[in-house]
Amino acid sequence: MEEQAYIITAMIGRYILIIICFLVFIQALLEIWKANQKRRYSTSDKLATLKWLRKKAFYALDYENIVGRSNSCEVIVKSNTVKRKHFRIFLDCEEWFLEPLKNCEVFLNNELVEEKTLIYSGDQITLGREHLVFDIVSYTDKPEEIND
Amino acid sequence: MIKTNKNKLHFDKIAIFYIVGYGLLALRNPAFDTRAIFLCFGALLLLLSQYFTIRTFFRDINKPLLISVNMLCAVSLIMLYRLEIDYGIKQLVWIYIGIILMFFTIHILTKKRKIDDNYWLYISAGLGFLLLTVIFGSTIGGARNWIKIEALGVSFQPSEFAKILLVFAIASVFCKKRKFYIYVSGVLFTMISILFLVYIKDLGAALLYFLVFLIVFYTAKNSAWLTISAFLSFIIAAYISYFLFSHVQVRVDAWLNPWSDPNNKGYQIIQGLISLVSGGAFGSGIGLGSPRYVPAYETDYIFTAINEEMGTIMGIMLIGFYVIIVYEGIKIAYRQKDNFYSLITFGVVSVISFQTFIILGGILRVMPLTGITLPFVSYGGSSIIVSFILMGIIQAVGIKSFQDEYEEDIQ
Repeated sequence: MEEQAYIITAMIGRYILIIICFLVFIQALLEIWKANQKRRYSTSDKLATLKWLRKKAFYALDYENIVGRSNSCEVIVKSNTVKRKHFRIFLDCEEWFLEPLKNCEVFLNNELVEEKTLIYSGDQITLGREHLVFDIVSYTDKPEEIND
Repeated sequence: MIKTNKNKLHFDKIAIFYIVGYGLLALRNPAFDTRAIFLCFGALLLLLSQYFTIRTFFRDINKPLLISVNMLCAVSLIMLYRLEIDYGIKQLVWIYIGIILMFFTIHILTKKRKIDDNYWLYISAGLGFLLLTVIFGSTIGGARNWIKIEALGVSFQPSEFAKILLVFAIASVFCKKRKFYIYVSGVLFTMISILFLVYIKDLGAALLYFLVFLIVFYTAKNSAWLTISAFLSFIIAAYISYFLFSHVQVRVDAWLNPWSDPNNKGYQIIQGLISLVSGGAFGSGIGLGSPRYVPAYETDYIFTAINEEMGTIMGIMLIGFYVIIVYEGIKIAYRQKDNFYSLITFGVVSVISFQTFIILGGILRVMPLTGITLPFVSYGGSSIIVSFILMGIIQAVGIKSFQDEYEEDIQ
């Protein structure tokens, strides 16, 4: 190719190279985002819920949830007697566990919880003046699988 | 339960990158350059072979890591072919060998076998490698860290390979409760190897070894006081070595004021800085710049050549790919429950990240320039092969934690 023609081609080529590299970079970031997202979906066909008795509100639970007053929590219980981050409720090997966070008082069926405890469907959790009920609901119809 | 992951490797876009890059290089020659087209086919075959190997054997491989590594290799291959046609061809061969070794490493490490108690093996092998350099070493580029094998016509850098052994040795010493003299021997091994490296004037590797030791030690023992005191003792040692060794003094003086001696001591730094900025945001276009005025333009200073001809944006994105490697590696390390494998991953990730930091910091005048290669991008057999083995270790630990979770689910 002649020199002048090559200069023009190379000038255009540099933009193409940068655009492709940028696309690959964005796609790699998207892959990371998807992989992080994937851990949140439950694999079982059951739905774990928390019911707040006073407000009659339902919360569907993830793999790992923090319950508290703060907006960054997965389950938000807006009440004066609840701490910003009060306790952790999570799935471990197909079993649900409850664990109070530092300096937080949690009562499970009117007994003080001090460490990681197994909980069952129908258990009542008390935080100060607020009462929550843990429930596992099975689907009658299997929900659509989330493809990602 | 594990869902089978779809293979989204985005190799199609990397293939277009190869085609555009090698197309430009072929057109650059007034008479059409057919060698570039052959190399392009070679690079595409590399992507295809990786794709099929992953589909058949390693379905749980970490995709963002693999995408980043392939993109870095693509930029490196095109830039090296433009700088020197021989380097471009040889680099493709090295990358082929590296990728084969990466899959081999994954295959070995994912097998069930106890390898966390072999600390004496790792320590003695590491010391052996470094002793070989001190005895048989020959000087290339100011540092006596090369071993030439005359019969085969090959020369390699043992300090690159000793990096892997260092990570394994420190991880195996600190992963469990062990007797006190074993801890001491692990620390002594690190100190002796750093002293060896300073003696043969490979300062970049010495700094790298120390930082990797510090990271693995801190993650294993979680004691801030010991880590801080180690860091302070390092600063004192660096201060003393500034007065003891003349080559340390030269580096520091060139870093503080390169313009005092622009034709001699500060030549490389000044030429590198000029080359960095002369391309602008979008670069001068492949083949239209003049990156070959910088000494060591194909190994340590390849980043300036990329910045000049492909643009500063490309340089920033290369750093972004390194950030992806570090982020994913640390995620894998956290996820792994076995202490030893987790520590290995931390060590390997810190090797890659600090190596990048040391050389980019040297080029950008953040810290004194010490010669070390840019992983996956610089020209050089030892560097490329070791980088790919390190990548194989990260991937193997990731696949291992997938397997462990799967077994737990079955039980």
